[in-house]
Amino acid sequence: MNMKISILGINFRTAPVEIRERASFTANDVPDVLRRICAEFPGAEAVLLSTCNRTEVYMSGIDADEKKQILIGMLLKESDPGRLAAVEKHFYTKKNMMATEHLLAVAAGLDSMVVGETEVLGQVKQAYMLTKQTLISGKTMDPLFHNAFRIAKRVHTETDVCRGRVSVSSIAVEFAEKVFENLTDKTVMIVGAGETAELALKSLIERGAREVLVLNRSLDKAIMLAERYGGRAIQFELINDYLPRADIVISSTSAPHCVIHESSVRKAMETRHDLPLLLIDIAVPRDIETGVGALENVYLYNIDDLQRVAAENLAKRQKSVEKAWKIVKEGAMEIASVFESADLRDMLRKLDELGRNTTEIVLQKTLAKEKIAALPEDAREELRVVAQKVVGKFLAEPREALKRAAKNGQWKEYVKVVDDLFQFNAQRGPDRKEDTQEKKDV
Amino acid sequence: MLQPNTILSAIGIVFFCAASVCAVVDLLRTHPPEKGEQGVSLFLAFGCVSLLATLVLQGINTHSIVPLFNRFDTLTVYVVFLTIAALCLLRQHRTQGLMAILAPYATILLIAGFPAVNVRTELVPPQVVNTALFFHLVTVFAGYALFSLASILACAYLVQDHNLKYRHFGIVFEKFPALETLDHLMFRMIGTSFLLITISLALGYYLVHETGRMSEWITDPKVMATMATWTLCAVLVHMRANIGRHGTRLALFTVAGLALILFSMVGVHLVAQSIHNFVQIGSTLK
Repeated sequence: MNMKISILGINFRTAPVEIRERASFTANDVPDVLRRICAEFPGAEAVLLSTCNRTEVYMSGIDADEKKQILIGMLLKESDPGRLAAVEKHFYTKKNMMATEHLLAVAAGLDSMVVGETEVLGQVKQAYMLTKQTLISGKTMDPLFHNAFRIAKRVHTETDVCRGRVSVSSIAVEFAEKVFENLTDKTVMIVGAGETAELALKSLIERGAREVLVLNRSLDKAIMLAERYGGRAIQFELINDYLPRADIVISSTSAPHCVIHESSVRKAMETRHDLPLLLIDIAVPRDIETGVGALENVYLYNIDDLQRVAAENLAKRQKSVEKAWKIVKEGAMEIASVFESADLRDMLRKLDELGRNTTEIVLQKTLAKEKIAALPEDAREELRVVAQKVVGKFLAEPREALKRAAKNGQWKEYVKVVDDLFQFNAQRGPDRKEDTQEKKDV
Repeated sequence: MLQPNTILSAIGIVFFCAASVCAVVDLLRTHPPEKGEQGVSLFLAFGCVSLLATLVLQGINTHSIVPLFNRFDTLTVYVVFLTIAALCLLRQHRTQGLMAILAPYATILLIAGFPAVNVRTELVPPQVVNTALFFHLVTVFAGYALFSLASILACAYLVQDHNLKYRHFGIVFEKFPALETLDHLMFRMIGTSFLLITISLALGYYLVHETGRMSEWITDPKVMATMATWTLCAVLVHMRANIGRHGTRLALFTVAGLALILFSMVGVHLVAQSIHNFVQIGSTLK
């Protein structure tokens, strides 16, 4: 069982969204695509990963290079050779070790648009589960993906690659979670209707924020936003009346002056009996007076604060990328050794069989000779034992050398030599060709 | 030759030292280390067992049912109560970062009490050696321990408040709980300690009656210090439960309470003569 894995894929680096969206599949579509692939290539195993940034088919038993056009046609539901040729350049293929490393990097979030994002691991798991349900995974895909999940987790726990949030909205949520125990009994006030503020509001609602108050100069806009998130639209002029009710205020108006003043926050804090108040000012020019941040139990952050944290977290992640890649490469070697140990057993069995068969053929010829046939039975038996021992001794060193090679990562070189020497080539021809190709890829 | 209780108490202190080092290292490590957390809890648990064994030995040596009469015993019982309360809290909430404050604090107290480990104790008046005395001591130490835990939570609150105000978003910021969590836990601890200290004071009043030395006890500095702690507790409970106050000012008052507790436990004996002082300084156990 040599590692015969290949990938055909398209991602945000290789293709614009117009092409990617054509090869995008929902969880309901995936089983059909997998069945089509396996009907076209009987005996093959395949896992289809489709996210907003990538679509990749992980395959065993199919050479992605050779069958690239057919596979692209199946993904895009396109049969016109001209059109296929036009989009082919956006698709990439990887094989064996490179393919394994790629899968590990994807699962660990190293190949994502935002390095270290953890959502992709869940998506890879879901893709694998869909394949399991379709019964198209097997002896290659199962160990490959199980090991990939293990190694991705190792990357997440042993490096800083996924530590710290990197988007302004998620950092706002992180601050909220450091001030408040949980958000289920909290009121969020949105002042203005900026896109980032809305994203932050969405994240806060996902974490269970109880009440949403939306204030905007245009009441219609406020009503629209409030309706989208099950909140209440409030007239902008009532901001000071509602301020004491809010636990989290996100402000992003386009007003040229401050809309939340120190005096009103001070008054609100008196009503709140010093319950903590988190204010996030995403607007430029700023909406909240800077003096507000100096008030007791009030925590004020502006866009620069959030962006600074995002930049620091991203820098921390980037620092860890090298370490993460080291784990990925080690992991790919481990996976290769899982497959190689099966190959080793196979190769040793072949060597033993060769030794036994050769001894038997030579012995039969020898024992058939008149002089030998006249010998007593125990002498003939002795001759048989000696012959077997000689062959056993002769093969002992190659056997040990193969075991050492499997341990030391020199398996590919050794197996080729043994193939040639003992003429196993006939059975292993395609592998050799594949290995040569892989070296070229590297 | 070293006595068994000296060896046991030294072992207990070593466990607390190890827990302190582990807790501080854990706090400053980048990754959340589950094994490290378990290590701190284990060291603290082993330390408590050693210290309890020391107290049992002290009890046997002094033929006393409640060996709480010298600086070492007092601080040891207080530390054991405090540690058990903290370990229980750790099981219910993710408050592991707090161990980096608690473990060194407990260790310093144990080291401070260690020289008095073999100081001979004088028994309390025989007419008050009864169940009421036992509960008087248990409730006051449990109350002190819970209030001290509240003070440690308040320290963490102030640190986290400082981190949020001055944008220090480092490891400590990540590992300490949210402000609101700390505030809730603080109030729970203060409320319970108020109840326990109240019971203890009531039992103390009953015991004073038994001895018939009412006027002496009422003016005793240790009783007055404990009354001050109780008053602070009452004020904090009132501010929180009736007025609904929260935040840094309340946390500052709670931290101040820790100083009051230490004063009423140990400090009062250093600055004034107390009837609670059963220690005969200078002679050691044979």
